[in-house]
Amino acid sequence: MGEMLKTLTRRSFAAGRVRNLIAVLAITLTAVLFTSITTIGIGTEESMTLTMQMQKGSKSDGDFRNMTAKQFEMLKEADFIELAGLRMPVNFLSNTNRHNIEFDVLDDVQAELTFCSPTHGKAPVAYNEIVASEQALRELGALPEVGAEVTIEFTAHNREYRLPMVVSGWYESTSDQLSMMWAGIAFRDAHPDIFQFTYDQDRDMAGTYCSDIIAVTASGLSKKMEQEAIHMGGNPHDMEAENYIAATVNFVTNMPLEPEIAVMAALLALLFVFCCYLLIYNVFDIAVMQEIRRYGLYRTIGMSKRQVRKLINRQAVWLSGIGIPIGLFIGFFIGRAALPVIMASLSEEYANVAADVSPSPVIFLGAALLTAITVFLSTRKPVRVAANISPIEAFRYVENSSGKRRERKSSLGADISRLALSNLGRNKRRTVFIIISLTLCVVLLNCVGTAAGSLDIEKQVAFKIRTDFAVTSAASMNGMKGFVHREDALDEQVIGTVSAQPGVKDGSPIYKNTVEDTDVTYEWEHLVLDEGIVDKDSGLNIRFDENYMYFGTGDDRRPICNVYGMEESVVARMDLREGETDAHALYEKMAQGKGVMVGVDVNRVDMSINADLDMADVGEIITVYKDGKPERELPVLAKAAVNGDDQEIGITCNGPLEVGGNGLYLYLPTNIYKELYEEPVIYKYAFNVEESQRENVTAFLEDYVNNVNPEVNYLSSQTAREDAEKTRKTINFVGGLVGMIFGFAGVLNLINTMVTTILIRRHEFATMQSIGMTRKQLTRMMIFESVYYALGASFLGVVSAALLGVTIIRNMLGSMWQYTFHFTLAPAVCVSVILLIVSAVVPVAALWLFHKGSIVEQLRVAE
Amino acid sequence: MDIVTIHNLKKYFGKGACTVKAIDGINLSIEKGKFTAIIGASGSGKTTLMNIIGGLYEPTEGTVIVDGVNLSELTEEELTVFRRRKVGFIFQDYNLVPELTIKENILFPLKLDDSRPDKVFFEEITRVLGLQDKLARYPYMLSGGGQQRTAIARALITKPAIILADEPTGSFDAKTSQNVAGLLKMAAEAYHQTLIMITHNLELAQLADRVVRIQDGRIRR
Amino acid sequence: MKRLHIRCLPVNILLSMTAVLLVLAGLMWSYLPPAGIRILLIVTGIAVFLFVSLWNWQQRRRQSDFANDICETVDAFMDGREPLNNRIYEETQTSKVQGKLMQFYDCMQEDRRQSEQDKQVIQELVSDISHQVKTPIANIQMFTSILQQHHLSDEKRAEFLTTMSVQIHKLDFLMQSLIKMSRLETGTFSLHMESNSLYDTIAQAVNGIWAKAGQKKIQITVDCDSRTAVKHDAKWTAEALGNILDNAVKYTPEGGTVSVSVRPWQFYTRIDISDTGPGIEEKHYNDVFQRFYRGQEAASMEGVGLGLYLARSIIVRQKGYISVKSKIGKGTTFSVFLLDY
Repeated sequence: MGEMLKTLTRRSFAAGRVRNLIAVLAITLTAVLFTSITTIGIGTEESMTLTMQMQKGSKSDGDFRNMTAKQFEMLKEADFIELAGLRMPVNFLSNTNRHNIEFDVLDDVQAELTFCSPTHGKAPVAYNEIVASEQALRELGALPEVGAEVTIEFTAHNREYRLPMVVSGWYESTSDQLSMMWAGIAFRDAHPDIFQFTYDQDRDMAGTYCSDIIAVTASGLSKKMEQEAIHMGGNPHDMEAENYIAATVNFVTNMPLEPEIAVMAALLALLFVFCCYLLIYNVFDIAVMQEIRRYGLYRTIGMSKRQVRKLINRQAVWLSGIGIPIGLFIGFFIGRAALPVIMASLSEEYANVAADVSPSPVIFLGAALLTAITVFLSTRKPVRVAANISPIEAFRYVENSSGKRRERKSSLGADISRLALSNLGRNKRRTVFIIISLTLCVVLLNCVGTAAGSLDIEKQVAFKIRTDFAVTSAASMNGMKGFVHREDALDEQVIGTVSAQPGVKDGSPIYKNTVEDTDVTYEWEHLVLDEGIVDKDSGLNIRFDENYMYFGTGDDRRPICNVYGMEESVVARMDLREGETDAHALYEKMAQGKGVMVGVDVNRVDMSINADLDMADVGEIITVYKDGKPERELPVLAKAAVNGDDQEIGITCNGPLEVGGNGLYLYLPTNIYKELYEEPVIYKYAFNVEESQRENVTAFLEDYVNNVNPEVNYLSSQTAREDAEKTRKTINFVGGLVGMIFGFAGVLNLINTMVTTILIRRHEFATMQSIGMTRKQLTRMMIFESVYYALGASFLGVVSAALLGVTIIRNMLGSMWQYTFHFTLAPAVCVSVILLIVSAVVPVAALWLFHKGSIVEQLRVAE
Repeated sequence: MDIVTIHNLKKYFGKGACTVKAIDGINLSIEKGKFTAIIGASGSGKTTLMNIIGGLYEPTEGTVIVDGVNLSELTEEELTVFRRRKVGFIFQDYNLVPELTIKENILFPLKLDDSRPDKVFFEEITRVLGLQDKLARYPYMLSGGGQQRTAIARALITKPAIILADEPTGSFDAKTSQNVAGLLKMAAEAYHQTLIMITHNLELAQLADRVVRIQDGRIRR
Repeated sequence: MKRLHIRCLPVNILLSMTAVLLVLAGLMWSYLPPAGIRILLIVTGIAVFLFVSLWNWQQRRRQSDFANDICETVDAFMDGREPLNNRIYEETQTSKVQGKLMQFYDCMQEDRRQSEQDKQVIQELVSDISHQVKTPIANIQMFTSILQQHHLSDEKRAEFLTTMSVQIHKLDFLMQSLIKMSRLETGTFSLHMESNSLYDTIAQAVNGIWAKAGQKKIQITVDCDSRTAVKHDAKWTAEALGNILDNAVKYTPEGGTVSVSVRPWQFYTRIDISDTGPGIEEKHYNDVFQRFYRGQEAASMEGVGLGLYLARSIIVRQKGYISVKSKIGKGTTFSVFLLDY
């Protein structure tokens, strides 16, 4: 039996070439879909993990810190650890500006784990040899060359060191802001004074042993690490304890699966399974129906239901055997090609990582499994139909036409469309499936279009920068630093140089207080603060209120707040919400010392004022203290919603958090600011540039910050816009891809149905033609039929796209601040029009290809 | 000894007003090893009768006993196996499987039952039916007569108890009809099989041991 | 009768379990600690072992079940009753063998019935033969005693001897028929199928009846292409055709016609033998080929009713067949179909 089934399968395989081609195509498409999706998914995950590992600077499973030499020896012996690197931190170099350099002693294992193995040159051997990143070397004024000499400055155990070193190797850093410079064990042995273990007393990292580890298995790692820390006499829980040992799992490597992402992935997979189900179901349904007489014959001769089922299943396996490998192959390359595009647009941070994915068996197994499941599910029903067909019925099987064919009697011309419509009813299930898959395409593309259209680029740009350009010191734009100290101020000279550029207009310097300005403090109602703690870095006393808001406080223990001094043009650009909303009048009043403007952080989603931070109402009096004495009282005149640009600069807000903390943002006119503060410093120079000159100015600034004055950095609205545009590209790309796939599946379905209809109904067509239907009329009838599918799909698609748009899409986009919901049906309409055109072309082509020859021939073929 | 016993058989199609009484009370016994011809106008119910004997239709009323087994007591799967082992079908339009060679077509019912073909018997049948040099060909390469001979061989190969031939010569000219019917009769005689043949050709019916006339779903005496 | 479908379940489960475990082991090779792999392998091993033993056990059970079922059926047949299990149309090995056994049993039954019938026929035959033999023997005895006791004139003696020889001839004919019949029945004769000229065979057959036809002034026409060659046994086919011709001549009234025509068909060569006799009723079409059947109107004719029976037997042995077509009062056509190989 088996051998006979095999023969049958093989032979009928060769016979139904067109049908099998379509089936293989459908299965291939499914496999391509799943493979590219899993490739993209796994590739994104891999690349993101790698990127995050690079950002974190470690691809280890976890790390131990603050160990003594003895503890480190114990750690190396632990049986759950496969590899343990050695890192002996020294400190950050102090002779840097824009690029932070951490200086450590590493062994080769650690270097490998933390992405700082030299890609050029070799690992340091001599005591005065180092390896550093290209950026670090440039920062130190050296060229990335083996043998280059650099001088490094750092502090350890309260002693400053200044050492000349030789570059033995270098590598390309992945971060613009921070990289590692390292020396070998010889350096430690040459400088025993740096590496005294004093962590238990003064918390100095220099001299401690740290280790990034690779564990044997990832399961239960955090517990094992904790136990190991305790075992070697450390305390992993209490940061204050003398014997504190940090033992943490690297959650970048061992990332817990986020439930939302898992659900999203599952939903997407389900959607694809469904889409492919529709396609494959139809293909097999049609195939079975075409062959129904034959199954009837088999059943008559004595083939059992089980054998019929086996036969079709075997065909499905054969088709899958061809389709799946092809699909896996194509899908993998599509996925790999699409990966960089997606990665690049996911976030700018990942842009500089080479996105790649290895052909892991997980991808292929997963995709093949999903495809196989889809094929299996889709063939259940057709298989059942074929097996259950009564032998005698099969011989007479013709798809039942709904209603009586009275149409033929009436005049043909007028009724062709009605005839076509009644043809749709022959197989309701199939009609519904085709319409659904086409509808899905319309709806999905419309959702994508809505999302892309709703992406509010101007909002994002405005949040980052309100003017065309802004120039600050390099530190202010450094996400790790921010504008904190007076020394981070922007030199007046720079402002002079920049403002002298042709086209520069509306330029205004903006003053801001720093952690050094502790003499000016503020007080307002309802302010209750606790004792507070001293921040080690800034030296400020940080105090908390009952809502755990924190405030940097000054000499008299009152909040120093974030205070800005600005020109009227800057105030005019801000988003005034309450009180005096006329910028000019407000500035006039403020300039006369009659009050102050308060800024409150906005809720980015709806740009409403963040209620948690809204601590002072309009009309409330804010008392200004200088050196502990009340200097003046300023009523709140207006309240503004502040964005990133108003706080510091759109890409970072480290400075205000370091200085005033959650304290009020107070905006004062330049003159009042200068009266209050002894040493007013400028943190930013914001300006617009005439359109014609923007390129020149950009070129000038680019050259200026790179070559003339590395202490300065700039941001332009153009770069901010480009960043935002990337997101839109991604949405268009990914969404478009998905929508196209659905569309393709739908159209394939349509083609399949049309071709089948023509093949099956040859005899009927020939009969119609023999009673006087012209070929033109026949073509018109088929076009009508096909267009009805598209029309139904378009109608349903547009309606459900509209419904979905104003409900789910609106809610989804509403929760993301980058979007402003903007309703559109244009993509749906566009797609519908395309579908209509395609649906009109398909039957014409199908008839041309498959309905040839004279009527007599047609009649004979059908016999 | 009767191989087929039909008692008060009725088969109605449709319901209510549009009921078609295809068979309306037939009592019939067919003797084992005999050649019975069923003749009647088209629509008289002869094909329905044959399909009921072959286990393809379930009767509305009455009993059909074939080779000692009451067909209405069999499940659908059992009916399938019944057809496979006890009945050989021959149709007007041959109904060969186009993808299989002549040899494979003939052996098809055996393969369905997972049986090893009896080589000697197979050779004899193909020789008698003049197919021995056409075994490797495909049905479309053969003439109508050749295809029908293949169908006869397929019906014979399982040594079924009865052979049901539904107008086996319907699409042939008079001479070929005689040929094919003759072969059928000869084969049935040679292998002691019961042959029931539907025909509208009286001349062919005369080959039969017995002629049953059916009119309007009843047997005309 | 036990059914085995349910018993397959544990094997399937075990098999899939093993497969899953193996796949798991392969997939997680690099993620699992060696201990995990070891356990997985051990579990897989145990599963495989269990599977094999279960399968073995099941196979043995299945075999013994099968044998027992068959024995049950054979027992039933030996006792001459229907087997207990009448679900013979299941798709199982047992039911397949049972079906075959039943077919065999039926064949045997049929044979027994046939031989039973034959016995009866032979009895009738014996009485028939004795009846037919009685008259000539009595005649011969009578004439012999007359010839022995009386001194007769040569003329008279010659007359008696002629009459006797007619009777002996009759006996001889009966004898020959019986021998032929018995050889056909017992199958001891063998056919020598060779491609021979049909014309020659027909000529041989016609020769046998030529004299008889001449006596009755019956015209015999033969329409046969002398080149027609058919694979057949010339001797026996001539015998069969001769019998049919003899029959035709016998029933055709004086001055009638017997015509033989040969037409080659696709697979057959058709030989029509038509006479202008009284014809046969349609309901007797089949009966004429039965042993010792003699039409009522033929009671007066000589013969034993074996000729057509023999003819048919010979033709069927050669995979051919004979059909009759007749019109009462007009005549009868016997068509002999000889298969061309």
